[in-house]
Amino acid sequence: MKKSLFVLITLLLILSGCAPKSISKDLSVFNWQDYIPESVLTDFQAQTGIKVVYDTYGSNEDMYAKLLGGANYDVVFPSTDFVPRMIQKDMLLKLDTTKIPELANLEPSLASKNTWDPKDDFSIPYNIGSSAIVYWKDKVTVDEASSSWSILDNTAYANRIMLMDDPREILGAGLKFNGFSANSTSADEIAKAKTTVIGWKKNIVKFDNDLIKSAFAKKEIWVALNYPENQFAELEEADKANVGIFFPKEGGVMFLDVMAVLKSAKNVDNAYTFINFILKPENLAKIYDEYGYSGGLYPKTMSLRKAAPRYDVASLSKKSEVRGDVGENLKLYDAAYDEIKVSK
Amino acid sequence: MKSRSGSLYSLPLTTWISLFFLVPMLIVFVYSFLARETGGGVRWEFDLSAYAEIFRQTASGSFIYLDIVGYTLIMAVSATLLTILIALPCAYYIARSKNNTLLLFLVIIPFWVNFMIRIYAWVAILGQSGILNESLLAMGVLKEPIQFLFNDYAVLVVLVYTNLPFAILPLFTTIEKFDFGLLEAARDLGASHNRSLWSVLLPNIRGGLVTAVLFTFIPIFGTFAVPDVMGNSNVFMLGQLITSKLKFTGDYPMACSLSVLILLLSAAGLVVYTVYNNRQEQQHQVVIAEDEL
Amino acid sequence: MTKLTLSRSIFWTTIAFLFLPLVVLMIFSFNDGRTMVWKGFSWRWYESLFTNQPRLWMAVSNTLIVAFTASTVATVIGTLGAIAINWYRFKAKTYVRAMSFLPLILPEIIIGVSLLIFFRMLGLELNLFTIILAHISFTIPFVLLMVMARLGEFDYSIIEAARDLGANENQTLTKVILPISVPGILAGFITAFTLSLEDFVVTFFVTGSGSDTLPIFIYNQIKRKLPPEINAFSVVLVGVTVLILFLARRSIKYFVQRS
Repeated sequence: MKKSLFVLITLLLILSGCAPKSISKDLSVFNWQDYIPESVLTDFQAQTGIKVVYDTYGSNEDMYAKLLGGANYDVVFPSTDFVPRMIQKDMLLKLDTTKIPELANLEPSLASKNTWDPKDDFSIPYNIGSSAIVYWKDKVTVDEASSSWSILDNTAYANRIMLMDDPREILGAGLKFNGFSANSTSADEIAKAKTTVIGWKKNIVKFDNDLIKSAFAKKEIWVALNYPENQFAELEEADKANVGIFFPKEGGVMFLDVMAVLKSAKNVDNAYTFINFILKPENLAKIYDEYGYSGGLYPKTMSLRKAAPRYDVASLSKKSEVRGDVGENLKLYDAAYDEIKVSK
Repeated sequence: MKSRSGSLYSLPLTTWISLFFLVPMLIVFVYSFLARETGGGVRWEFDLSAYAEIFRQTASGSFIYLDIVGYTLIMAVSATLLTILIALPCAYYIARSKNNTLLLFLVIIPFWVNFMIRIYAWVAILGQSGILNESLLAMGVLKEPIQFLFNDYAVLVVLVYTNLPFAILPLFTTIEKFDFGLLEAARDLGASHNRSLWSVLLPNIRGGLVTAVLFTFIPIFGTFAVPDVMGNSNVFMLGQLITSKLKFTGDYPMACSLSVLILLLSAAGLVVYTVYNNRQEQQHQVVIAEDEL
Repeated sequence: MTKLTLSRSIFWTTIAFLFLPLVVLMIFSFNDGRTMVWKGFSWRWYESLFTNQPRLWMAVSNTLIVAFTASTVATVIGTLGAIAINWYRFKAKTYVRAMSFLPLILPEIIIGVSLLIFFRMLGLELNLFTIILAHISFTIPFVLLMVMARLGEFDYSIIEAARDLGANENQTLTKVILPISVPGILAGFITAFTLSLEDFVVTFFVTGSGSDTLPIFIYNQIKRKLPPEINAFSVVLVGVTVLILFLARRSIKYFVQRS
């Protein structure tokens, strides 16, 4: 019996050794979920013959943790608040922008807002957007005065509100409501923001990134703070007209995601090919259309789009800011967020 | 001869443990004393703040993190108790049945469905527009749907649900070995049915009971997926905190210091277990010694 | 027997409780719509499952390979170790006893991250191999406990008796110890297999590109709309298992009785 056991084990170990340990890859891409549709990847593979292995993550922190742990990819899509950090840690490859002709199509006004990578040495802008208050029109009335963060304080919507689970977004909301910057590094300001959010908690069912979509779609909640594209993705077509969005007038938190190549990348040339392919107006247009992103970074794509974007980035409050790196002060945000989660 | 076999049998275990338990453990321990690198990772400098943070007090005087530990303890104890209470009669029934393997598989089968899917199935059941509400409305018990989800009780239900087999299995293993003739004997001696179960069966399955409690309590204590999905904004357990530290804030040192804390708390329980086992051991060792003479 | 009636009703109620989500899944696997709102009976998700989901099946195959390999190795290591701890003396005993239960106390996340860092230190590339290593590591304690719980109820005198009858070490092991441990070994193997099948947290950290197991695949999908093919898959999986068990029940009975 011992012998047959050993034989069995040996066989199984051999089997696991023969198992495809990893698909042979010419390019490995690490991206957010819902950021590049399957069709675009297939097109890329068809046109260039490069096989792509595509993994996804749900948050910058996830991505960062995996990369720190040593996971190996060629192309990643961090957000701007992570880029300075990654540059500093020498994780990103300095790009030769002459190899990326499509970069010339970038909206020029953006260059001035670029605090994270002024020369676009390490990162290529990919998508910009903002979280918004999404609501059911038949349950919630919104006008000029009420399109504010104070809607979260309205007891008429008690237990009908869900917020996304993200420290920068939530504290950002608190900060903006109090008139501060969403990238504040002041302990006092963050503390005030925290107190505000704790005050909102009585109305909030949950901080969540997944159930927020389905609960909203089922009308179990009426107000949600989330990226509009994600919220709408779960709605039935017929319901979409009945759902509204607004950007609080005090301003909100915007995100900007970029493409970057890892210094440890094994397929650098393929990476450039991939980036250029994605930036081609017709491909970008396809991507933005697929998920309803607002676009706005590369004007040439606008004419090629088949569906109107859900919102125009230009319509965002002038007070909205792009999420930036707060350096060491991130500790303040984290501690504040923990406190919010724990307070009753 | 005997001591050689002992070493031989234990060799694979010892090697594996040293390599894959000890080293990661040391990593966790070391990391808890390092400084935190913003955004994730550690800086190789000695820093006790990961531990100091645990005792942090807010302006209003509450110990945020210690409160979380307390809350988690309460939830874990409740869930464990419930699970064991249900698992005992089930394991008893299976052990006394002729088809015990079949029944065991019945218990295990639902768990071949993926964990995440099972949790989301409970959302479909307990949700406001879920099956439970639909049935209660249809039966006229309710006028309006109640949100059964997003509270402590929903978390408890699903915690019990996900841990039942891990309580039933070890209990079954022990009860199965129990000589039920002893129960008959006890009843012949005049003990009532319940009395014989309480005084004869339970003491003899202590080993399995302890195992079942261990198997149930510890995973529940560190759980994060269940409270994350089923809980509301006021539910925050230790596992969620550690996940948050690792995934959201990249605070490795504190995630590790919290883990060390959990380790210390559980070490106490394990010491008890080992001492108990040692006492059993001594009985055997006496026999071994005699054998060697 | 009055007691059996009570435990019988508790047992079957529990089974109903355990199967409830499964039934819900089954109902919606036949739903003609994508969401949890009933739209009519349909086989379409079953069709789609078998024709349209190559990545799902890849993940399934990975999961099975990992589960079988890891639980077998863990069972062997754990069983031998349990026997050693229970009845033999050896130098590292206290150390082994204390260390073996470590993974039980550490939250899975910590196990995942620490193993990840460790693997990287060793220069290992993340793939099925690292997943298997990780799975073996956290399932061994369960096997240990299961087998030890079983062994602990036996008296050492059994081994004495075997010795008196002239058995050597090998025979004692194969003809005395192992047979009586079978329920514990079986319980240990099943537990290890189940744990490996559905493990998500640890796997998430030690998985590499292209080596997704089923839980990782599902987790990635669950963030958007969960493709109903997964409901169909769960039903198929359970159905197949039940079928195999049903067909094999006689041989299982025989095997268990032999111990």
